[in-house]
Amino acid sequence: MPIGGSAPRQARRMDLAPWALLALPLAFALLFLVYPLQSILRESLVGESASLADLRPLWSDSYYLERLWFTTWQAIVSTGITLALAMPCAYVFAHYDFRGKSLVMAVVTIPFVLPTVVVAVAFSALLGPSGIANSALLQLPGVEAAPIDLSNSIWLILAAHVFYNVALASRIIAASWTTIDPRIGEAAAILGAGRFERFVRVTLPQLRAAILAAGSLVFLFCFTSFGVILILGGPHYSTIETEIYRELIFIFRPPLAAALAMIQLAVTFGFLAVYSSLSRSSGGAATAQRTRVPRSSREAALAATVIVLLLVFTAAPLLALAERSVHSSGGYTLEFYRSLGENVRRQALFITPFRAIWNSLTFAGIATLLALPLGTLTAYGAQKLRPRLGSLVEAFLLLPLGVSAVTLGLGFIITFDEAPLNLRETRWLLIVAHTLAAYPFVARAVSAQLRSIDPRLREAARVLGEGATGVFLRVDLPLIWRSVVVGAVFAFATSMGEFGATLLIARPEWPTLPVAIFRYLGQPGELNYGQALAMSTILMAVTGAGFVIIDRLRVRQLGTF
Amino acid sequence: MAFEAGLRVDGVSFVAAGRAIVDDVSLAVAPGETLAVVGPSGCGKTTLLRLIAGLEQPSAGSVVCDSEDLARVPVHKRRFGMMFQDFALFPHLDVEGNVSFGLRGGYSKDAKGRRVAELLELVGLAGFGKRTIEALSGGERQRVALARAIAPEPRLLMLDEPLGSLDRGLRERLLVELKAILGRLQIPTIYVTHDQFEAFAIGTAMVVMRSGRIVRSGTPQAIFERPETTFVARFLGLDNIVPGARSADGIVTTAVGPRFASEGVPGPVQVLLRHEGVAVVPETMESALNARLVSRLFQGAEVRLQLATAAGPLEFALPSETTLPAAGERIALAVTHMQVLADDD
Repeated sequence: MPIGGSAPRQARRMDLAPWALLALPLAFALLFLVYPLQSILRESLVGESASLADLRPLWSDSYYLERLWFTTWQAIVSTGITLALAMPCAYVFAHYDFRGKSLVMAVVTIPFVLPTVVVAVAFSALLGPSGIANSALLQLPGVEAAPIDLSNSIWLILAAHVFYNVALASRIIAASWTTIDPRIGEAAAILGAGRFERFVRVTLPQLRAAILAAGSLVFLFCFTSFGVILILGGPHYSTIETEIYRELIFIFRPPLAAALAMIQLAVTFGFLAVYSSLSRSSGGAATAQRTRVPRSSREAALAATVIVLLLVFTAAPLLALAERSVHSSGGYTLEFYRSLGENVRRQALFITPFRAIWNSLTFAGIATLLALPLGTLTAYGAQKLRPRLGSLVEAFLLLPLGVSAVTLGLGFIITFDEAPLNLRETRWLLIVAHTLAAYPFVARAVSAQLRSIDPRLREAARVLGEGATGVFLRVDLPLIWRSVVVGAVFAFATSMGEFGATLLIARPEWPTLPVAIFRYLGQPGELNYGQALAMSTILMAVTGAGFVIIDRLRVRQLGTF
Repeated sequence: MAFEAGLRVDGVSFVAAGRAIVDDVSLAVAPGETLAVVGPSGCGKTTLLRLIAGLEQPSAGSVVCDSEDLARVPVHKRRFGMMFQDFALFPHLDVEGNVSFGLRGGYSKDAKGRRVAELLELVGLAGFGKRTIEALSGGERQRVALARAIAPEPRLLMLDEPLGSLDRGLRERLLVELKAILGRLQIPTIYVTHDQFEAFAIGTAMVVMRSGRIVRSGTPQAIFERPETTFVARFLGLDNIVPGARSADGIVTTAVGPRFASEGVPGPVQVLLRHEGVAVVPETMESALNARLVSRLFQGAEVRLQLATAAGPLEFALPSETTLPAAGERIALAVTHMQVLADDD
């Protein structure tokens, strides 16, 4: 019998500390995520009012099959275009240094933190019927009707989806590209492989995991896209996500909405699993390839072309949005902003846009305050568990990232409308929904940073006489606080921009900014549209400002989001 | 012009950021030869290889292989083989995929398989074809890298610190195998290393580089026996260099005692005292080296003596059975092998 064989076993006794840390996040997720999802499942199968007859249209009416088909193909096409555009951008980011590179990277990443409503409105301000492109073309002699008619066209949707995701995909792919040892390409060249052959046989296979990870993430976003489709798509282009909303709000068939939500969940969880397994396997050694200034004029021209096109594509809709918000048929004006605080139409029960802005800020503030401890506890507790168990628990606690907003809203509506948890009458339901959407961002930011801390640093602190609290305060905290701030900014931006769930949950008395924008877009008249533009510009400014904070902190984690 | 087999480098320079990394280097390697290029790190050895491979473009000079000027031939058309430092194996391919990467055209699937098997046999990795790169040890990776480099039967083989990342015992074993394989292949070979013992063992010819220039070339034996300059001597680990003076009648007297005859211009000189061939003598003997014995390092067959002298610390080797005074006491040595060096430090 081996001597001292019982020592390791002793060390493996159940350590309760991680579970104490995880108790709060787990309870939160079980109550506000699992319980509502289970309610949706029950509603779709055995709901009191439900019988299989209610679900009949799902298979008897080809309409739903068409929706599923459209949802899928628009997501595939959006993902394909996004990846095709992301590859050259990723190449330039991973290989070249140029003046203002970090600024360029920051600017092109702004779309990622923008609320869907803003992106949709921005594209309508650029390419819509009264958008900047059309009014410019109308100035030309001989042009009478608006020449660009993309309203309710698939192109506007695809453009918005690509706009949203191209920087994210570029960053993920570029991060992996920089870890490729340049000598491996040189080795291939010496072995006789030309430029194209090297790309196909050496570079692409090494980027495969990153491209698939980026692709599955983009697909996920486009598959569950809500605001863009609802605002830019019109009735022709309804996806599963908008269909759930329609079934619930306009047709009032909760069982059917629930069944659609279950179908969507199955797809999203599948892709989420693919993404997380790939992003783990692609997190290889960081033997960074050194970036350099372009050497020949050909390299410089290539880099400049890619950067300029990317900047134009990113900036054009945002600038168009800002410009249109101060432009009426009578010329430039601040009228749309001035009227945000007035009840111009003297409607009863009217909530001024100012009120909506205030709502959004307070909800986002409270949600962020709740998300911070939840996210930090998640990251901390999961990290203290055994690796495999830890990543399992973490994956579970990050699930809200993969549940579409409308599904979440649906779950809340059918779950928390009766005692003992009748939250529908309170603002808390909204805040909880926002917290649920926001805390995974904090968790991800903090856990990425925690993983990068060399465990020997903590051991050194222990040996030097620090207890658990001291280690946390003097080692962990100084190393993670930036990530906590980054997570908080993401959480705040997420809450500010949350649209799908809020649209379902929010009562008319307390609309948030995105919901107010959506309502104003639905009203006829120049003033309403102008006010929607003005509110979108404000929302863009608030979320964009948050992004500037992230960038200032120089924590480069967007690539590994 | 007559056909000349092998590689010829003529006056090649490479300037980056205003600094000459490689400065007017010329050399030639014929089939069957292995040229060892040695020098301290940063002396431009690796850049020289990259210039020959075509990975960098020379600022001046020409690279010619088998009488063909390679100035306009891109890397992938040169038909060279190169083993990188740390090997640069393709992480996404298995051993077989790595070795067969450069086998193009002309090879049927079967022929490819046979060639890979043959090469793996040659480097002692028969049956490793389906292993992943991650699963290999350092020495196995080195063998795969060699097999990959020689698979397409290159016109020139370049090895950049091929044993640099391996531990010492493994290095010595692989060095012997590598030499045997190179001997069988008869491909002109350039072997870059910072380790003089590797260069001695593997090179049929040798050049010493310093700050981008070749400062010495010859056979390894010739260079070791007559380093000629203080830089080369120190680089080869010959550190016993002391000042001395040459008289008009050709007698060099060193600052630590020993004297010997050497023709040349009278005046101050640098003298190399070789480690070997010394004997303990009575302190009274004329022209003996008098010193204090600082420490003795027993190294098996020989014992190394660390001495403190008027000209600084010196080190010598003696057979282990020699009777020696205790550490801290005085000792006198008769030094027989001495050379005058040109001072270029």
